[in-house]
Amino acid sequence: MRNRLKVLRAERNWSQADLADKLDVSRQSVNAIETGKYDPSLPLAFKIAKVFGLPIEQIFSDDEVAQAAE
Amino acid sequence: MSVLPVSQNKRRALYRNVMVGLIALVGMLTFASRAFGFDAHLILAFLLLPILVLAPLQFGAMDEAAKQAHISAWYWGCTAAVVAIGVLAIGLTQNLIPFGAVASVTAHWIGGAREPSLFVAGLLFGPLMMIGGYLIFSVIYWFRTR
Repeated sequence: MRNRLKVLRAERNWSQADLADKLDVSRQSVNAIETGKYDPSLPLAFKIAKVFGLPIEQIFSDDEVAQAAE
Repeated sequence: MSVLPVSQNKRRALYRNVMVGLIALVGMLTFASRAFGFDAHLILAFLLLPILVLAPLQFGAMDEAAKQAHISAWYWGCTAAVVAIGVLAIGLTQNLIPFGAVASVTAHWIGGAREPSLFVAGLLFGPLMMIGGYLIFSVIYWFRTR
């Protein structure tokens, strides 16, 4: 699973800790999601989408789909 | 109204700190009772009981990536430990591992193991309890999610 979390966070000038506070998760979780080491659950993915005000598919994409698009 | 923090991050930090504090206290008391020769068994039992209540609370409040890491660490750690205990038990019963070498370690830390068969029985009791607990919680999980 790929995601644009780091880019979206940078656009808003938020640190990982800021985003973690908004999502009510640990900073380590935000880091693990950003680096692709952990795929969030569906409820957390929806929460992330809500925090950024974007649909989920604009934040997360399937590896195969992303590779095909490249 | 709950006295617990509303923020999940603060709540999980509270549970974690209390849990770590209790475990540290258990560890310190164990070593202190050995070093100074006093009986701490009753206090230790009272300190272990709240851990039984706190553990599910902490697990429930844990954030999902940490929870996943915990599940993975327990699964692989305990599986490896069960295998290691099995190898050690076979080694001891077949006289492939000298009992004296193991007994000298346990004698130092937990007050001695002089009888090989009792030691092996104690050794196997741990994994049996773990596997029993695993089966019980597998059934509970299966009933809750079917």
